[in-house]
Parts: sequence; structure tokens; C-alpha cells
Amino acid sequence: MDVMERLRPSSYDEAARMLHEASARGNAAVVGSGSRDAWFPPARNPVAALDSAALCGIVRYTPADLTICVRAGTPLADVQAALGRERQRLPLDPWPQGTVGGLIASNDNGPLRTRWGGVRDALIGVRVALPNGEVARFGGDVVKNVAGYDLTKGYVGSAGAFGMIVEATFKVQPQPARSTCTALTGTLDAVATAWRTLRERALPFAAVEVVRTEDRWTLYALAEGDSVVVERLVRECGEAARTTGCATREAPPDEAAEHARKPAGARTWLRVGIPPAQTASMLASLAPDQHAVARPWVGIVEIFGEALGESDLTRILRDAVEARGHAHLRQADDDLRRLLGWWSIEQIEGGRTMFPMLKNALDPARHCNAGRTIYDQSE
Amino acid sequence: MSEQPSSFIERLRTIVGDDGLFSEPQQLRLYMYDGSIDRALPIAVALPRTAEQVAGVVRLCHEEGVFLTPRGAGTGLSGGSIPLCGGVVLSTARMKAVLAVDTENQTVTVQPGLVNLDLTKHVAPLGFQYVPDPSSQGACTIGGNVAENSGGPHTLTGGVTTNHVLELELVLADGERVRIGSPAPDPPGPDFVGVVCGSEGTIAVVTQILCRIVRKTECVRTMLAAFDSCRAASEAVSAVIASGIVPTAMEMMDHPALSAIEAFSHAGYPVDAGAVLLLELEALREEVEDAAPRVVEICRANGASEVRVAQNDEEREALWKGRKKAFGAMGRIGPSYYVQDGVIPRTRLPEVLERVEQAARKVGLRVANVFHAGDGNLHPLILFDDHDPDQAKRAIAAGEEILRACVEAGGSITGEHGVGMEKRDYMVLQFPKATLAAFTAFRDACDPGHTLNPYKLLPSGLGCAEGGKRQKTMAQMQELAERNAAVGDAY
Repeated sequence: MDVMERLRPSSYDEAARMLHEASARGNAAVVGSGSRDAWFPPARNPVAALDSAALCGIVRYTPADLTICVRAGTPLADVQAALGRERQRLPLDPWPQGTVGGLIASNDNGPLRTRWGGVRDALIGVRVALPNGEVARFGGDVVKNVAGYDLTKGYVGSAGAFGMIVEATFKVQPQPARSTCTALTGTLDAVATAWRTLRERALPFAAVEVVRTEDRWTLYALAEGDSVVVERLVRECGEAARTTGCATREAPPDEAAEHARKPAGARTWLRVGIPPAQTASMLASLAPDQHAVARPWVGIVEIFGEALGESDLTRILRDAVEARGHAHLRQADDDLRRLLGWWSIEQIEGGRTMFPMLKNALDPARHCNAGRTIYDQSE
Repeated sequence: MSEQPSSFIERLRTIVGDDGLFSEPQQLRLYMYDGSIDRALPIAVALPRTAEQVAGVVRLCHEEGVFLTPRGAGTGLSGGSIPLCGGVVLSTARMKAVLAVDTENQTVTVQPGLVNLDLTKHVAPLGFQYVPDPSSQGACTIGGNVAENSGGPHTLTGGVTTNHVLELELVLADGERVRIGSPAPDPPGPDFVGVVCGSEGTIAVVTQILCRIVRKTECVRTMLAAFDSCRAASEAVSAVIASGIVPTAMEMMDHPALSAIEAFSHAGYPVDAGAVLLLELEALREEVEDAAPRVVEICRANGASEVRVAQNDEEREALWKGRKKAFGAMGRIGPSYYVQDGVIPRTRLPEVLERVEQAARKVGLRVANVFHAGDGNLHPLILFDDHDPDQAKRAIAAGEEILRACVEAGGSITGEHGVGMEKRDYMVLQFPKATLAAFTAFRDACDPGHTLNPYKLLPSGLGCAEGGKRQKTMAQMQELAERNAAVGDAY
């Protein structure tokens, strides 16, 4: 990013003032730790970049209320550590690096998305520095709140388009007493039958992940809760394995997480969202050397690898769109990027109409992180 | 309006057909109210059957500068569907089809006029349910739920409407039809569906909704615990949460509410109790069987004089029957009620409940409390005579005092009923000017002429001195209460 000036506000008001001044001069970039920077197109010609590194720390935390309010530059890991001391957690386990603000702006999530939803389900309020120099607060500290427009949701996945998130409040939950991960290994058909069976039985697994391991597929089912719950869920995995012919074993806690992470050295990373029933057919269509991780109860498939060429990717993108889904090429070499862009989406018109409405309200000069979302590529 | 009303109404008729338009005074009177205390008469009611017709009505109103108020079933409690400034009411009552059920993807596509309970009834034989269950679920519509971002007793673990809507088809203020959201998870870009949920019909009319459904839970256990006081019951709520158990519902009813409910519903509630908690656990059988005795023990340790556990579906339904009909039961103890909907952090319940009681006492009115204790969502019902303008004024004053207490405790003026017209001028209590300015700018960007549901959600007359503004609205509400009394006398 060719940036003329790097700014690091240490208060909300200072962030608003700096953003106001920068956006009066031209485009202003808003960044967190930069850990997800490459997932989005660069901001267009910024005259300054504001980072949130000095907006750090916990603002309010009353464990009995099951909510926590933190400054947006706080690393997610620090938030989890503070919650852990009270045996609580934020049920979001995305890409492990990065700040809370970056997590919201990128709408990232991980295996726990299966049971606990995404950022939009945990986030109950934000405070934002606006390009007009004001600090606005949307949502609040309470778990139910319908006062005014829910613009908090507009910041989820906003990639900084509507100002700088300076503070966020989340719903949190008690840490599970126990956790056991069961691995079921077999053919894709067998594994798919197993995940469908477990889903039909309304079993509350915290995470259900599928990965290809050489010529087999492995389903990781994470059971969390009190002992009685974990034991029952493990039993159900055993039953599903028996009826589908999968091999079953207890997996070490980090094994599934290792697979879910982008392998070191992978130059291409595609994240696909499809209606969950399409997951098996998408996995079946992948070439044997394509490393993939799927959340089949949700409809997320992440594909990594060096072997992913233009034709493979083009076909996957087309399949995603035909299934009424979308795809985000989080990482790619320049040549691929030039050919395929950043996103493929089934329909873009509704967002193209709504995005300017939010933009007109929150950044009418269109100087804030210009060019970083799917909806302002042509502006 | 650039032409005579009769001609405008004829143009409306050409869009929705003869049987899709009400314009006779006796018909219009049925659409002047919702579940709140205000009234206003529309000039016409359009009942479209298709999204095309909705778009036609919205476009016509937009072109002619005629106000348009969308309406589901009219069960709202904040005046959201009252045609405050006249104009056209657009009722979705004839768009109530279930268009598709997709059990594999666990979704249902519905029209906005579908009644909430009918959605659950439709999918129940397949083993599914729709989670948000407002107390008015037997009448309120999914479109109305989206507009208000409705909750209900089971949202503590299940979330509110926004957590169960994946995709929306909308008609925007100028009549343009758009689709936002996706049947696939996490579509790129901002969460537009989340922004539209709870926008109270001020930025769009919803014409189709893709809802998430979930499989029915394996085991449900409902229990009722009686306490001497609301304070003791509140402490039990915090103790249950602190133990790591999160019930799907934790509902509280105080003594005045219990008396009214029992007289009305004969649910078998202990009328001598100072407060009652209705708790529900929904989970795997083993989990419920493990947690239920612990909840009973926690309630007893916090002073419960009696804990009753429903032994079968019949007993469970009986326990819920009283709660779900609680608002209707208030007729037993007062001619009318003014219900507030403030939310507070759960740990502040005891002190704020005391302030609720003080606020009512100060104006010489009684208050009954029936509310979602688990998520701190209060529903104080201030009892008054709606034909007595002075009592109406006092009820409104007590309501304001209660909302102040909620905001001062770090909460919100509304948890699920919406701002509507009733709470629009209390928005200044909760939000800084910068937020209100952003809300207004968003409203302007979506609907520059403010023809969609005008004068709702946002404070009236932004730019006036705040105190003066509230006074002004109080006076307007007073005037409406007086008009309401006159209307009641006339019919």
C-alpha cells in the first residue's frame, strides 16, 4: 500500500478527528493488525492509514452478564485470555491472528461457526469513528436491543467502508466443561452419510469439519459440554461410524485445527459459501490433490493449494454461483488474481443498491477504505 | 398530492384490484390501531397479493408523495403500523403462503403475511420448528417480525428474528425490487439483511423471506419456581447463569401479574407468591436430566418456596398458557395497560425493578411485571384507564421514568417491541447525537421523501432542544389519547 502517512490514534475522539482530517484530503485507509489485509483489494490511493494498535484493552466485562466490551485494536487472543480467566469464551475461532476490529470488518469465522454462528450472531454493539469527525455508537451492551437501525450489522463484513470500528461488545458464554473430538474416516459417500445422519438427529456438535486425508475423507465432530453431553455425542459418532462403515477414533485436540488451517506455503486460498446440502457434491468435484476443509452443516468449503489452476478455480467458482452461493479468493498469485478477481457471487444487484445507502449515510464523500469491498469495485 | 384523492384511490384500485382495496370509513377504522395506545385513520388500505402489486403500490405512493404504512397483523406494541399521518396502509394479510420447504438446507421460503405460529405448524410434522416465538405468535406475521426484529421467550439461547433470516426480497421506497442476503453462509460485503431486520418498515417493504428452521430439540423440561419477591427471583436467575447452565427461557411474573393471569387463564400459578420464574431447558435428554435437578436446587437455595416441574406436554402447555396470554389477562385488573420494553444487563434486575415500582407509585398507578428475565428484557405493564386523559398522561410519564432507569443501567429503551411512534423521542436518552444523525442520514439515503412509515423510529424534529422535543411529543401523545377517548365514545 502506497501510504503517505501512518496514523495511530490513542482515543476514540482522536480516531474520529484523524479520519476526518485525512478524508478531507483524500482517501483514508483503516487497518487493524494487517493480518487479513491481503484478503481484500487494497484501498485506493490512500493519503493516510489509520491503525487501531493503540486502541487496545477491555472496556467493560461483567461475567454474570455474559457480555464483554473491548477496544477494537485488542487482539482476539487477548480477549479470549481475559474471558478464560472467568471460564468464559467468545464462541468465535477464526484465523487466529488479528484484532477484534479486523475480525468484524472481515466477517471471519472458524469451526465453531457450526453451532454458534458467525460474527453477526455474537456482536451486539459497536462504536465507530466516522469520517465526519464524530464518534457514533450502534447497538449496545445488552443482548436484546431493537432501538434504532441495527447498523452494527452493517459493519460486519464492511472492510472498513463505513469508518473505523473503535469498540465492540459481544455476547459471551461459559466455557464448556469438557471437549472431545471424534474422527470418522471413510469414503466421501460414507462420511457424507455420517454427517447427514448426525445433523438429522439434531445433535449439538460444536463443530463438524471434513478434510481430505490422502485418498480418504475424515469427519471431525467436536463434542463440548458437560460429561453426559460429551459421552452421548461420542456414542452417536460411534453409531454413525458403524452404520456408514467409517473407522472411528478419538482425535487429539489440535488435529482438526491443524487441518482447518491454511497449510504453510499454500499460495492459493479460496473460501466458498454454498447452501449446506451442496457441500458433498462440491467436495466430490475437487481433484484428488486439492486440499479442502469443509463445514458441511453450514455450507463452507475452503480450498487451498498450489495445484489450483485457472481452469480448476473457474469451474469451482461457477459451481458455487450455480448453487446460489459465492466464493472469495482470499489469496492468489497476481496472474490468477487478474483473471479471477476477488469474489464471485450469485447475485450482486441487491447489495449494489443497498451499499450506497449505507455509504451515503456514513461516508458520503466515499473516502473511507475506498475499493475494499465487493460493492465498491467500480467506483 | 398532485391529484384528487379519488383519482389516486382509483389508481391504487387498478394495481390491487377491487377486492384488494378498502376505502370505506367502516373498513378504514379497523386499520387505525395496533397493540399500542395510539390511533390514526388511513385514507385507504391496500391488500396486495403479489410482490409486483406491492411494488406498484409503493411506487405510486412514492410518485405522489403519499405516506405509506406497511402492516402485518397489527399486533405491534409501539405504534409501528399506525398510519400516523394518514396515507395508505399496505397490509400483507393476503400474502401468507409458504412457498418452499427445504429440509436438507433447513430453510423455508415464506411470504410476509404468514402468521408466525403457522410457520412452525407447517414444519412441525417434518420435525422442525421456527425459533422466534413472540407471545403474539398466534396472530403476528413473519413480515412484521422482520420489521420489528421480534424476539419472544425462547430467544435467550435461540436468538431473535435477525438470527433466523437468511435472505430477503424487498420493495424499496421508490418501488424497486431487490434481493439481499443469501441461502449460503456469510455472503461477501456488509450484512444488509441484518440492517433491514428491525428497520420497522421505514426503508423497505419485505415481500419474501428465507427463514432458517431447526430440528425440534430432543428433550424439553419446563419448571415453575415461586419466590417471595422479584429480588429473590432475580438472584436465582443470575445464580442459574453463573452455574454455567443457560436455559432456553427464563420468564418472570410478579405478584400483580400472577393474580391477573391466574384469574384469566387458570394456569395453576401460585397466586400468593411474590414472583414466579418459568424456566425451560431444551437440549439432549441426558443434558436436561442432568441440569434440571441442578436448576431446582439453585432456585431452592435462592429462596424458592415451591418448584414445580411439568411432567408431560399437557402440564408444560398449561405452564406456558398463562405466560403467553399474560398481556390479555391484564384486563382483569385494569381497563388498559401501557407496556414498556426496556432492556438492562441481567445483573441490574433487582435495582431496576424497584425503580419500576417507584415510577408507577409516583404517578399513582399500579404496575404488573411479566418479562424475559434471562435476557434482562423488562415488560412493565402500567395499568390505567385509556378513557381518562389524565391517567394516560401519568402512564406515559411513568413509562418515561422506567426507560430512563433502563438506559442509566446501561440498557436499551426497547428489546423487541420496536421504537415505532411511541418511543421515538426517547431515542435521545439512549444514543448520542452522532448516532441519531447517522440513523437520520441512513433513513434519508433509503427514502429521501420519508414516505415509508413516516415519523417512526427517529426522534421527531431533530434539531430542536431535546427536552422541548420530548415535551412536544408528550403533548402529541396526550392529544392522541384524547382523540382516542373521543373515538371510543363515538363507536
